Amino acid sequence: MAVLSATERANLHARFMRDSDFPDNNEKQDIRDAVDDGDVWMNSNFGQFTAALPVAFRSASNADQRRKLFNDLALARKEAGV
Amino acid sequence: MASGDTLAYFTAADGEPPASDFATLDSRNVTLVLDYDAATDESMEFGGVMPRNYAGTTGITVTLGFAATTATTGNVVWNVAFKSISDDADDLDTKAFAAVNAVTKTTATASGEVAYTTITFTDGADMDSVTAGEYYRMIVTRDANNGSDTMAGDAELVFVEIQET
Repeated sequence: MAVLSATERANLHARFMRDSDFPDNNEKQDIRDAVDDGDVWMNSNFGQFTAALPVAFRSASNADQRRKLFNDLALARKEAGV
Repeated sequence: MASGDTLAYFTAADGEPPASDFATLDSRNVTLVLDYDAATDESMEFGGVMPRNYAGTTGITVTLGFAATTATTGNVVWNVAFKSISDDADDLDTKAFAAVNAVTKTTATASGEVAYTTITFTDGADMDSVTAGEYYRMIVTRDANNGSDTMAGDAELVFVEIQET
């Protein structure tokens, strides 16, 4: 794993703001800091997510499939409000 | 015309988009607005004829009214510039805008409220020497990549008024 590049983070920052779903009292830099810190956390902790998966899936899946599972889980939890 | 008198006003529906990076039309509780992005500089142009009774001495004051899509804090940097289209002189294909004048304005404390801010232009080159009876174009840009533009999310331009200063 690696962290996103500065350009990739900037693009995510811009896209996140366009969705207009952020705390009203946050300014641009607050949101950019959240993007940066969240990316660092994911980079540091994604190995723990992988380790938590059952061996059958973990050993047979590639990195993209594990990232997709992480993404789908996060999205499902957002939609469920949990 | 006397100081403070309105020379022109524009709503979102009057906007004429440039070829790229233009503000986009949106509505807010029926009111048409122009959405300006928080990360990319976007613009909209407006065209008009300077009223014949413009005195041409004290210049003009441009008032911008804008709301935030969701934000309740932060500043927006607005740039405004003019270009005059003089009789049998200026080519619509090539005439450039004069230098911009800018203002930094804190957004309203509620996202649906409209913040008013003004930018003044002295008569003459500052407003590209637009004279009474002359066609002009005005461009309104959010300087989103300016370090002083701190408001997250879209700025919604509601209206533009031009007064005699």
